[in-house]
Amino acid sequence: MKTRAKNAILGRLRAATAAGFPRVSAPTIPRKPGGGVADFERFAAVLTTLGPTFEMARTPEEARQALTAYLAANDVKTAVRWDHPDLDAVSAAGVLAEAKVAVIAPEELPERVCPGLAAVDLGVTAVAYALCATGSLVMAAAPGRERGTPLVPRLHVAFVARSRLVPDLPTMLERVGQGPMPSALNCVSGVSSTGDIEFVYVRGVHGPLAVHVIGLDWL
Amino acid sequence: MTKTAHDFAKASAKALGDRQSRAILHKAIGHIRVLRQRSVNAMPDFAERQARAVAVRDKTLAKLPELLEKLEASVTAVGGRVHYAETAETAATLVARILSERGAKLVVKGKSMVSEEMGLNEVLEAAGIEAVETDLGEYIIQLAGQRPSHILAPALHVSKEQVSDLFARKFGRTSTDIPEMTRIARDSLRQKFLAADAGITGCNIAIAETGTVTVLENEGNIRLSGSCPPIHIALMTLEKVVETLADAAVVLDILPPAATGQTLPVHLSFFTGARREGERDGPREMHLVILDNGRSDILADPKLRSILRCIRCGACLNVCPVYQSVGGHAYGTVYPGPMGSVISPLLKDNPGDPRQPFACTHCAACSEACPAGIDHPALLQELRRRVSETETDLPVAAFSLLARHPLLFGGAAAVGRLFDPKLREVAAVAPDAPVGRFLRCREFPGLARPFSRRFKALARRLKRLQGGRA
Ligand code: SF4
Repeated sequence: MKTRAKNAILGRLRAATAAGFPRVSAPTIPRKPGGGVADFERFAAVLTTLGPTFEMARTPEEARQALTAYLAANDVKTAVRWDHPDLDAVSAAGVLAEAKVAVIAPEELPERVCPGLAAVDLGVTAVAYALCATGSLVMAAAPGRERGTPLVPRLHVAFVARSRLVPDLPTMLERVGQGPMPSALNCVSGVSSTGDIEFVYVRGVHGPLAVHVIGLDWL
Repeated sequence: MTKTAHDFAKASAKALGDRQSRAILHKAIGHIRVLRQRSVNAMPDFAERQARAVAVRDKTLAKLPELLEKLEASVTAVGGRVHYAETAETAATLVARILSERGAKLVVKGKSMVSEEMGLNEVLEAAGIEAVETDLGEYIIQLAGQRPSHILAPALHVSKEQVSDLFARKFGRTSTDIPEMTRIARDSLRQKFLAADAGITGCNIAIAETGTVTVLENEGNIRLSGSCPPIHIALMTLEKVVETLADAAVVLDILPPAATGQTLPVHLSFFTGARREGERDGPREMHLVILDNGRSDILADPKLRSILRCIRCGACLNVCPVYQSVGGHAYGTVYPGPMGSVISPLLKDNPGDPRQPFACTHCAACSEACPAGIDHPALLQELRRRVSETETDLPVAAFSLLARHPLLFGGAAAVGRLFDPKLREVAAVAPDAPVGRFLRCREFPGLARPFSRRFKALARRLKRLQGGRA
């Protein structure tokens, strides 16, 4: 039954494309290479117009201070964090421990991860790429990098290393295409939002209510 | 031609009488148009982006069977499963079966026009599965027991007072403050996301080379639906595929600006198969349902196939004077506006009123706005021609007869002259008769002094005007 539908559909499509289907006149016009800027100034300027907040850390120590201050200012009691080299570079685990934030290790999360994350205050992640033209954080799922961490908790802090900046989406997709696609790649530009009631713009709908980005200038 | 119960003309006449809805609609659409224009103006290379997108869509259509096979192979390689469905009904049954076999009871859905086309919610309900819409606009519509009226902003016809009344009834929490109402919806929907057995999403672009399903949204509900529940079912119509990530980039260059005026939406997710070895969340099972429902026949139709370039941005709706006046519900179909008027009558299951294309005013605002370079007026004209071939329209047939026989024409004009200028009053006696219907929204040309009699005087005047120039 299943193959029958497939064969019938593909059969019709084949007949359609074989029977005098005009050759595409112009080959697809290649997109001009991005060539745009990839610096923190541009990234932060766009990012902050979309809702997230940004601060720059010039040294690992400044990054640790930034995270410590954020935890205190937002009354963070519980957190989850990704297993990511950029987080190790700022010893995020140590900062969370010092601040007496209860960190839920991935293995402590229940079988269904998202319900377990719903009561957590903060998700801490790093990015695979950050897009300067659109102020976007690009996060890739992997073992130790749960999809729910930047999505379900009330707050999200993302570390963005300078070496992760790329000009724009096509450049990012070109790089991503050089390796296998992760099971989930999320490009997030701003804070979850809606305009569904009378086009009044509201931030913080289903995803985190606030996103804070810490730039790692030396990395 | 399939007969449908829905009568577009009647439904639009009714919609035109609803002043409140028209005012809301007008305001909302005006708003989206401003956003879109602002973003297009800010892109000096918009025309170039558009040309690239058209080329990619055409290349895709020319290689469609090959790309679908490639997509299937890639999805399977990353642990997903692909299902083909000939009609909307078989697709809905297929989804219900996948869910029932796994004992799913609660499903969260992210905005998907295809699932509307399938009538999926009704089928799931009949199978004892609760399906909750999670896009705020769709959730409002679902709670209100209505249908979406716009492909991007499904609740654009609802006022905040109406939403407030609705929430008060459903949740016992009242407010007319929009952020507060949004929080009420968030609280209620969070419970559903976390408890759901499966997430159903649409698919804006499927990428053949990687087996990736791409979805665009602002709220995060689709990302949640594809991330938290143990099963993810993505639904697409067969033309949504592109070949490579680079092709996807070309479409993404143009889709958000044309749709909402954003450079990128807040969430752009690339889901590639189920969770991998060692990953602790993400669906354990990922299914991709590919629906035909008449589209393979459209591809075989050289005069109409360009509608399959459509990337569902909604730009054509927002500029269409007919859509702006009657709103999405009058169409009685899943896809309204210019793109809907072309595609709906061609669908196998749940097609639209075949006379829908007759509402077009041929102003061509849609084709001008369309980032996929679709010439809707030409397509609508072709559809009209086909309807006229199968249906006899009495007034048109009568006119055609008269036009071919000058003597008869003269006789009929003489009869008409007897009633002129009281023709409108005469027609009012039988408003549903052909002449009555014709005159309801048109001025009849004056008959008392027919053109043939005015001709000589007009010719003399023309000569005078041209005077010495001749
Ligand atoms: S027909 Fe063109 S303008 Fe209309 S929704 Fe499709 S792509 Fe957008």
